[in-house]
Amino acid sequence: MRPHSLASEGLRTHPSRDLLVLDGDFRGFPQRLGGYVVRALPGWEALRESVRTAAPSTIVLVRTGGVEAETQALRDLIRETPSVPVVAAVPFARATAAQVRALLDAGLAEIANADENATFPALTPALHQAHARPLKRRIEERMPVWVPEDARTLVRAAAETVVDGGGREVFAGIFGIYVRTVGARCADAGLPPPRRLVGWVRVLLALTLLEEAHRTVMNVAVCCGYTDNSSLKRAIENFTARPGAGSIREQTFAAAFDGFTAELVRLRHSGNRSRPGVRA
Amino acid sequence: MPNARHRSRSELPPTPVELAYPLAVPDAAVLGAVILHEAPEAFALHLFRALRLVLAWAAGPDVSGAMFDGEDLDGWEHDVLCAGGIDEALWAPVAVIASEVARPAEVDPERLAHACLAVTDWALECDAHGTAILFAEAAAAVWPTNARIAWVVGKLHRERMHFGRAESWLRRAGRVAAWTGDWELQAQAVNSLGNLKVHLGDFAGGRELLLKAARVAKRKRLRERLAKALHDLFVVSTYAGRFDEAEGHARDAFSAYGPDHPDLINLAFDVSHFWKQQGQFARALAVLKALSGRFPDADRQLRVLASTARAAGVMGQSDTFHRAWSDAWKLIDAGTADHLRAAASLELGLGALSLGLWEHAEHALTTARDAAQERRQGDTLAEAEASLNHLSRRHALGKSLHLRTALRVRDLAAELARSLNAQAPAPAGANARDN
Repeated sequence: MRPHSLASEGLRTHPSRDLLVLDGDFRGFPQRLGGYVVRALPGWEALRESVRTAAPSTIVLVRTGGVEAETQALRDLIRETPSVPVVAAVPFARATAAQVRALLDAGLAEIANADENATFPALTPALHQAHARPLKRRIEERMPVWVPEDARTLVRAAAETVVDGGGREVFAGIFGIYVRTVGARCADAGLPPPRRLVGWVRVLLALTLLEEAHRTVMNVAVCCGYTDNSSLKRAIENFTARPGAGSIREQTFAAAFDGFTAELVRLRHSGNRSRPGVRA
Repeated sequence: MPNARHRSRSELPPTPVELAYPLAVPDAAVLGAVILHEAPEAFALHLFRALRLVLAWAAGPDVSGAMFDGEDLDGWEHDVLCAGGIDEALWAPVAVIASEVARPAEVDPERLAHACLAVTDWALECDAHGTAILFAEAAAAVWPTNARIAWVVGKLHRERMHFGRAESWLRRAGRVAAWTGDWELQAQAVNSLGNLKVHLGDFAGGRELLLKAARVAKRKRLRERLAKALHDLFVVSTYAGRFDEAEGHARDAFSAYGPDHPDLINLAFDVSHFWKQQGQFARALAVLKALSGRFPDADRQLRVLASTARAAGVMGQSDTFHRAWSDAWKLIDAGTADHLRAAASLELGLGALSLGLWEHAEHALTTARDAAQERRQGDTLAEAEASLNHLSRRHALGKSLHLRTALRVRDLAAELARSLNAQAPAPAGANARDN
């Protein structure tokens, strides 16, 4: 008997995500399964080229034995395109702890145990875990210590939503609750309402993508669900409250995150005033 | 769940956001990465794999079912069983985990959770705190209706100063306990949450939660829980400057503990400190005398002796002062509670000052000043310097500071002292309270 679990209750489908693999690494994989579209690329150069303009919902899956040359190649790939999560499939039975540690230190989004016979469904939990992890890490690094754990969980869910191009319905769906209910939970946790929270996280995602020099502004706008350059620029200016602040490339993640934090501070103080008691 | 009040058949309360972590919304970090840094090199990967398989099993077959089909779990179980040179306290529970998850359809959740907690025990022994917390969380995920495990996770997070996670897990423990009718654990979780709020400076929030814990304990006739909640309320009231309320809570806590309870000395210790701070030295002294020699740890022994010397000095009880003075200096010179060197010396100096023992006072206050300077304890330093100035003026005037205030001790102080004297000395439960 499996325990009752909210994860299984809240099982959700997601829009199609690209899964980039190296040709020959996963021969038996179907072209399309569980919401993933598998694209096999002929070599590392083609993989790097594809990742440069890939949507942040794309996941790279690489088979590796943990040898230094492969680890270095992964390290370079992640350094060049940090917004796209990379998952390493490693046969744990043959790997050492030091090799796995080196792979994780390279910046992998996730690691999966996979020998030559590993099936695609067996690897999908690792792909789910890796989804939106680069954005979650960026946000978590700068999140103030006083932000409560429930709020962090909600922000992580918002990151998952935004990376998939979803809105507040998808956001509420992650918890298996209505938009109105998730709105109440956001208010309790001192967060903006779901629409604004998702909007904020979308802007933060766009700014992380803009840090990658090889992406055009148009590519970033489309990846984040904006119609064009100007709507992306407008969104950033609206959320950061800096209209006409120069070129879109001059906007930084750090400055925008400070604006997000300032909004959390305002909500925290207004929340404390309106709710003097404490919810148990 | 015979005692549960709710009518739903659901095993867990409908609070998906609170219960989402760690299963529904993955963390920003790779799950279990810390294990690879903390565990023995030869066994780290087995432990890493064990944690991930346990949490995958807890997430349910819809999320991770295929993962179990894709792994050679029988081979892994064999590898774990054949692993040599590993501490049995680690190897045995991981072997249990391997045998359980090798047959995911037949897993016994309680056995799996206990194995995870055994790994937590091993990790705590080895100072592998990240590993300890992860396996405790895994145990809570595997057995989500066990509120006590969630409470343990909250306590572990709190010990590591992860206050956000601690709050979240303690709240979860309280909700699950209420849902499953585990009233004692509900009161305990709410009590712990209240103490955490107080620790974080939210006195109003903490007090409200402690009052709730006391209400639950009273409604369910959990005397010991009630006593602990009231004891904590007493402490919070003193912090908040509600002195009358504090005394009331202390009195209620005393009657809830009863005169024979081993934790009574903790209450007596806190109450005597409160009275001493309030300047009620007669009441404090009566209790402090009864506490003499009751604590096994040097820290509280020294606090009691220093406070006794101070109160005895004010009350003009020279014999008591000299006894406490000698015993306190033995502990200070032994260095067993070195962090108290400044504070304890200050108390001793103030006691000596009250008795007009100028040389004693000068020695103690100078020690207090030097130790406070060394440890950058600003408050103690300021008080020691002020007292030394006072001493030099009084010394010049040659006046005695004897105070012989005969206060009546026929209230809570007398009752506490009588109860402590009637108890056997140094009971086993004389350690810190578990909230």
